[in-house]
Amino acid sequence: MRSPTRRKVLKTGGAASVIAMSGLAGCSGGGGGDGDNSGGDGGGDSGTTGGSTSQDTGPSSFHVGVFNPQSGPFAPWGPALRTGAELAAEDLESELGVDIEISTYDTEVNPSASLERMKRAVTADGIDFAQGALSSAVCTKIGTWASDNGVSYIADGASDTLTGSSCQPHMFSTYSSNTMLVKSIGARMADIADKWYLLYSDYIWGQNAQELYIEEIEANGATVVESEATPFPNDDYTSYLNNVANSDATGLGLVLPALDKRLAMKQLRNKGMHENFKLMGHQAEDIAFWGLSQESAAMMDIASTGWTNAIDSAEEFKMRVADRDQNPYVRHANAYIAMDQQVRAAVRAGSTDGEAIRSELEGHTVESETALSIMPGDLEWRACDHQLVHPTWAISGRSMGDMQTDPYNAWFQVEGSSAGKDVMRSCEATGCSL
Amino acid sequence: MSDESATNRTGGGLVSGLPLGTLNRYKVPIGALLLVLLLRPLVSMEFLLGYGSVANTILIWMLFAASFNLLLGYTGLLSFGHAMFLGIGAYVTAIGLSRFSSSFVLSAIVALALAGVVAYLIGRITVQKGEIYFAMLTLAFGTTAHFIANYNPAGLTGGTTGIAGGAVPAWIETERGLKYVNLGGFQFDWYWLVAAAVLVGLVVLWQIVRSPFGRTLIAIRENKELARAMGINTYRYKVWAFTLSGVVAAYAGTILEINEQGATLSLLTVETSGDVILMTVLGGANYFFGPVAGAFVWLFAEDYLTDFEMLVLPLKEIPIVSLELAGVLAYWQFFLGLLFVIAVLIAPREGIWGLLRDSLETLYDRLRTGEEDV
Amino acid sequence: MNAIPIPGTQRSITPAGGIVWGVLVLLTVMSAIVRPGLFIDQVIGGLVYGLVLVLIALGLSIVLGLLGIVNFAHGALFMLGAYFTFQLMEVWGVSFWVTLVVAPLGVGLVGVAIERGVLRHLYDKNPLNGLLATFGIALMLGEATRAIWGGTPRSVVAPQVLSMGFDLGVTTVSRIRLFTVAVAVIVIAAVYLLIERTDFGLSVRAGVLDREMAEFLGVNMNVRFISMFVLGAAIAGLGGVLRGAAVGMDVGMANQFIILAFVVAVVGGIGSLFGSVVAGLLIGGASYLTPLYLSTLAEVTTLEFINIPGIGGLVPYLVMIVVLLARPRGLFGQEGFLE
Repeated sequence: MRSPTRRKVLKTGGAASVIAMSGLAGCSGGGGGDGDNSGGDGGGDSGTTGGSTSQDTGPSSFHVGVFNPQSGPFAPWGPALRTGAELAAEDLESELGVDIEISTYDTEVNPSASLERMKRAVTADGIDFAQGALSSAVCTKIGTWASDNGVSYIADGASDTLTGSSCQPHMFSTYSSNTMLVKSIGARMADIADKWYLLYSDYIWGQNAQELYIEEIEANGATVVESEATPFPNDDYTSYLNNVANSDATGLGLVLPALDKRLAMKQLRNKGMHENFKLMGHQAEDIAFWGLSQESAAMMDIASTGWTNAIDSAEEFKMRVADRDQNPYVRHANAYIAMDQQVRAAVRAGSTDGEAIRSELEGHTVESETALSIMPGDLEWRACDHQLVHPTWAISGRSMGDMQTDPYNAWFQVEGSSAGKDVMRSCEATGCSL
Repeated sequence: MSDESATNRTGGGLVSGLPLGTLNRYKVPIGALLLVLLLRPLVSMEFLLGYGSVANTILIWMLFAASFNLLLGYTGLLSFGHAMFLGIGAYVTAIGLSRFSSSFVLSAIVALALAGVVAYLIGRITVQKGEIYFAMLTLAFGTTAHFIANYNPAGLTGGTTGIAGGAVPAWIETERGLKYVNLGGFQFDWYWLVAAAVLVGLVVLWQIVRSPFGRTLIAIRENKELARAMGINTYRYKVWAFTLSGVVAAYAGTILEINEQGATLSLLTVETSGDVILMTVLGGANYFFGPVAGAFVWLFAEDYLTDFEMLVLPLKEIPIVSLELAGVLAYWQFFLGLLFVIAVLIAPREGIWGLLRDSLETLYDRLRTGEEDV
Repeated sequence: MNAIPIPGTQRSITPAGGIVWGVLVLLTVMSAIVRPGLFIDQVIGGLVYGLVLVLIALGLSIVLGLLGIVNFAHGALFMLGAYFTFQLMEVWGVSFWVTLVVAPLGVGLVGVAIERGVLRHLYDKNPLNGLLATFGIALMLGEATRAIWGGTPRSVVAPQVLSMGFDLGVTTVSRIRLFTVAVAVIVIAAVYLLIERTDFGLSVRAGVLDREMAEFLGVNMNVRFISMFVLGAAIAGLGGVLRGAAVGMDVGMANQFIILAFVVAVVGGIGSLFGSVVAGLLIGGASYLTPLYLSTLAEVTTLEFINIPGIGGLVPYLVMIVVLLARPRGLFGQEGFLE
């Protein structure tokens, strides 16, 4: 066990059990015991793949690594990835009687730094499995390493390549793929405007999404007048908005990451253009709007998301998040599901080994009541690409007067929902060969 | 920079006091050897970082910073785009391994060649401009390299995700975090290959620096006009310094590629170029080991301080005073920045290494001469 | 290459330069014909954006030109202006108009601290030392900002009269941006008058050329150096106030704009105020027009690959590379400056 003065250790369940555990031979978390990690050859007892030990009933304590951005531009997203995991850990401990220790690691949204931390997490701190990270570059980096080293990892990155060309045997993904998000609102977009202009950020995520939008919008009878690449990152959208204003489009789709979407919407407003267009935001997470203003949220005519706090369930979950001074949004739900599912899989498999968890998760239909209460619908870990099949929701911004700020921010309303299997891309289309 | 010591000091009172003259002459390679042998055991110690494989990263960055110092410390050129060469080294190697299934050695050679060509061309365009213009132009070129990698031409560079899969040479194996090299039946820890490679790199730099070429660079740095008056073609020397510096940086990049099992955009950012500047100046641009020390301090601080939660004095078993430092130390870059500013004000070319050497020398002198010195 | 004299003027142009100019004129005409409405939008938009860039870069240019200090903390001061705006308007409820005056003064105070604490020790040293020191200060200010106001992006509510767009007849520009342009013009004029037309400015310029002599004549150079740096910092802060009010503030904005500010200053030529203005307009116009030119060209020639996506972000750097290759000192740079 690492010296507690130096690690960000969140111990749920009494200090006594910590001391007791470190004495147990069957302690899962390979790097346990004090003398093992130090010395010239880092990583000590590489032999034990923690957990698959002498106890017949399998491991009863788990050390989970939660990766989240704690510094850098996406630091505001970080707490959700941690809180969701913590809430799940609490529930699992009381339901299954297991012990869960969480260690968080700052990804800094920098793949190199994140990789360094993942290595440390596995070799020195002895985590059993990992979850989190939101940048697809980071997820891919640590996911690839984790899979090469037999560590199970559930990513929360929003990119089709995670479950596509970069898919890994021990990596699973909770975040809705681009296809899922696009298909959830394609028909509605065609309904509210018949000519769309798309502005997308010029990198893999944006490029991929805009292709999908063009397909989906046109399949539903509307047209995409123009799909324009904008630099990533960008400090000024005015020239592109000029292009939009000069077209005959009636709908504007912003396929931009959170900070750029924010900027584009503000500049759209400043130019007074927002009333002339129906506005769509791709992957519109509530959190991106809370730093702006309610007016900007109200501007959003249609968006899709994997989870919204406007749904009619999970009230207790939302309140628990609010109690921690946070506003619940999709990543809280995803982090909860990830922790819930990986621990349950490890318990079922009787081991925390990457291969064991994989065989339990692949093709598994989620039965966990707590998970289903948060994300109602059919949840399944698809075998061909390790994507979590889950329902998606189409949302729009509430009018200013209807927006709730207490006890938590709820600025969007549900327009409809789609079952996961209706919006997933086919296994062949993923480009993943597992 | 010309107000500090007129020559780059690779000699010092401490070591020259020892009877072995040869030891003094070869103290850089000996020092480098000691460094690579001792670094991992050192950082693995519990009360330091407690985790060994970070030593790989530290060594690679030390080499990268040392290559940068060939430009800054020895030639006097401040480049803001040095990350570009690290990136070329890593990316070309990764592309070769993953997209073309070629061998690591071949990909690495191509990487070094490409870095050399690019460095030469950019050097030719930029080295004669004034210092500020040179800095800005290198910044522009660095940004262009980032743009190109992000653009993902012909699917080679992987855009924002970078290259992550299939980029490891066949003779590398990893298992639960431990990396091994498997060559012709021998299996040994990856760290030793990194150590050997970095050692070679440092020795090569050292040879460059103490050759007539290197001495001419120092002369140019100190007094350009005088050098020109003596008939030295300063332009050509600067271009070659830029080229060599780029090639060694790319060499560090190829090692990094294996260590990180791929290449990502973060290697090409302005932040990376900025980090190496900070490390070099903080460590001390006047000394061969300055940037090495600077890289160590920076990376050590990053790892040590980011996880620091509580300072318990005097011992964690006997806590008398405990300070909750997590909040403050999350902003460790503020303190390192402060240290950096102080270093620039007081001793811009001495840095930490210079101060360390000076204090050790003073100490040694004191001990040697006894009370007479006090 | 032999230069070809331009009839009616004293200047001449090389064949290469002639080709470049010819291509530009051709592209301009083509775009104006093929997409007139958009062309006007982008020209005006580009000039407006260019003046915003000038305002952001002006402080840097002043400090660089007059004091010879490469102020890498300029972007951080810009960001501080934006965050002071947040603090004043959202936390303390001060009105925008008061903030417009107070926030830059606050940033100016920070400038005093930097000048007295760090920079005054570096004036006679190698300019690279100043660059490095301000680089470290930029890091410190960035972290301090993150520590005080957190990493979440913030925004303020701009006054009603500045929200929405302004119809100029041929195009619509956002009001706050037009206001920024107005402020930029006033500030440029004021700085010009101060430096070129007052005794104070004269004494500063004299002191920069020969500090010893100026001090010998009784000029207090310390005061002058401090005030010039404060001026530069305050203008940076002012830029931050306006940017913050327009689109909000986040901890990345320092790095976002420092590079752009440097590009403007370098392209214009160090030591030339006029150069900065021209460079800003040039870069602004180029950023807006290049994608248009390329897409028009692609349309007309039906060669789609010409239309490089996302090129807009690279334009400032390309302009810098081109200008510096043709004119190593920038457009209007003065000889011997920092060389």
